[in-house]
Amino acid sequence: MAVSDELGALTRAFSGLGVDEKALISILGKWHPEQRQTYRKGTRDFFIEDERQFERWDDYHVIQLQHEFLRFKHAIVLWTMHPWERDARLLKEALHKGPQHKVLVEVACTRLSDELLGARKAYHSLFDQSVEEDVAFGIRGPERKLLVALVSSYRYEGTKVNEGIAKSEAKFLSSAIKGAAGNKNLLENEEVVRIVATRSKPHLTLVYNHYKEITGNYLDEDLEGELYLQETVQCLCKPQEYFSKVLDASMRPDVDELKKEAVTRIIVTRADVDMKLLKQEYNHKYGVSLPNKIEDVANGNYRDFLLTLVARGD
Amino acid sequence: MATLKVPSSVPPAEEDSEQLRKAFAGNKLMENNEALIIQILAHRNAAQLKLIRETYAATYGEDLLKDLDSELWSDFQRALLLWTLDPTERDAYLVNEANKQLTSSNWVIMEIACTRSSNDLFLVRKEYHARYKRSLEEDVAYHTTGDYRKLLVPLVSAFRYEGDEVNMMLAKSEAKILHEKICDKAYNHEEVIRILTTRSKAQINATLNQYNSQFGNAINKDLKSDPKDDYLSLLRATIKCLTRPEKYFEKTLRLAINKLGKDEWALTRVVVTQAEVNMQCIKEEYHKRNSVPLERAIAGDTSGDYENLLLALIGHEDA
Repeated sequence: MAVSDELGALTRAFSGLGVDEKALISILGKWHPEQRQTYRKGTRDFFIEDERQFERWDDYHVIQLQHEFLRFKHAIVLWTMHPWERDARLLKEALHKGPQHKVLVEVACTRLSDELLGARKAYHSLFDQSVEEDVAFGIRGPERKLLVALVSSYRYEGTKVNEGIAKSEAKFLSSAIKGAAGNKNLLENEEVVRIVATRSKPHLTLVYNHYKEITGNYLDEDLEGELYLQETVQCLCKPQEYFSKVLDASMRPDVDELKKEAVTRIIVTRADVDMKLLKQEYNHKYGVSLPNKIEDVANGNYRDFLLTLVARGD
Repeated sequence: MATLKVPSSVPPAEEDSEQLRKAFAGNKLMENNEALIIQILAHRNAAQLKLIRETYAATYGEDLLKDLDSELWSDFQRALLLWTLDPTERDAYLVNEANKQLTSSNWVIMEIACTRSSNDLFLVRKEYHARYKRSLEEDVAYHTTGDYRKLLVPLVSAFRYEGDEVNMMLAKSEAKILHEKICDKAYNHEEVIRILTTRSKAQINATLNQYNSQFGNAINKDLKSDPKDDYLSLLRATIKCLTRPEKYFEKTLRLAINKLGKDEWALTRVVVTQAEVNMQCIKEEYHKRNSVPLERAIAGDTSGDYENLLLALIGHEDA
């Protein structure tokens, strides 16, 4: 390979999600000290000129690189974990890493009722506390009541629904949303919280449909800007759309580490659940297949692992 | 400890089943058969009762409790029915019934939510799905309003940690928070609800001990500002259920026997739900507080088969 090609390959090996281990081995592995020095001098992103005349790794980029090297490990560990432990740890991280309260909504609303119960049991074992006491204690804002209710829910999962009640709850939501009119305080509305936090998913789907009939709009779109309520409704009624959105946002260039972690989280947690539907939705929304997108933005073992998981839907 | 007395050698379920069939013959409870029914059913534990029900259904093609949803106007029939239900089914039934009532129903919901173990409460929630095709919390939320909803929905949704670990610093700071809100008369404040509905029972106990040490009064004393306030009564009862359930049950029994409470089915409910759990402790508490054994109090307040069934369940000999 010509030198400039090698530099290009090396840059690609280090950019995106995960690292291209094979390229790193085949290129860096055979470079002499002078070649490596040329690389250091020529790569201003990673190396800075130290005052004592040597090229030094930029600390920030070393940390970035660490994340990228560990991305594969993290995916493997998460994949191998019992789903209960996995969700318990995700809930804990959502509270403390970031924090990323939206991940609380994601886990609480997209798991089956018994899976969420399992996560709550694992939470006891791992952290000697209940998830609801941690969430209640750790969150001070108006979203506290909603989030505590969501992680405490044990929704009915049968198909029986009450058409009349679904209609009236849709009507109620429509007037509540009109009344709130951009004041962004729907979270304070107890009835709104009651409906989204306790009703079964089939019931809420019925509510969602009635809402469209009554107002001509989609409920989650009308909840634009409403902290957490929009995510809640999306996760409960249109999870594949929600996951596609979050995935796409996480795969953009130059997003922060927390956002990037969503890629592993979503692919690992959905691989055995609804990957096929997710892929369809992603393709429909963004015009590119999910595997192709992953090929583009990810490298090496991490990329191969993700692609294997994503292929499970086929 | 349980007061239920089971004979040392229990007849096979087929035999019990046959005897019960005879006693229930004609769909009506005949006068002289009720003693036989009590003799069998009031002396079998939950597992044995389950087996009897299964055997009965397999042998006669109908449920022993086929009259489950019909109008039960007799205390005896109601007590028998509740007793024969599996504990999880029973609690689900009681909550569902409470949701349909207007008075005292909040107490039943609170009582079940606070005195069952975390796992048992979850089993009740699962049973509720199967029986009523809705979740327990959605029904409680739908049928309650205001402060009652604020308190009861988190109570029924809790899955409290059950270890003994206690964080003393947290106990101190949360005792302070409770005291602050109580002084402000903000009894429905988010923080009060948060502490009581999410903390483990051990942690709450520690917090209330701290409250007493720091502020000189037990918390329930400070919550007595308005004796007519029903919500405050419920709050005090919640605290009692979480920390000293046997005292709560003693008081509930006392009020029921003296016809002071609004809770007309409390006597049945407490005896039936606690016979296999904590009735021994409750009896001792009752005796201590009232200077009269519970058996005597129940005998004085009830009669006939109802009395006999209750006495059998609380372990009274020759009942």
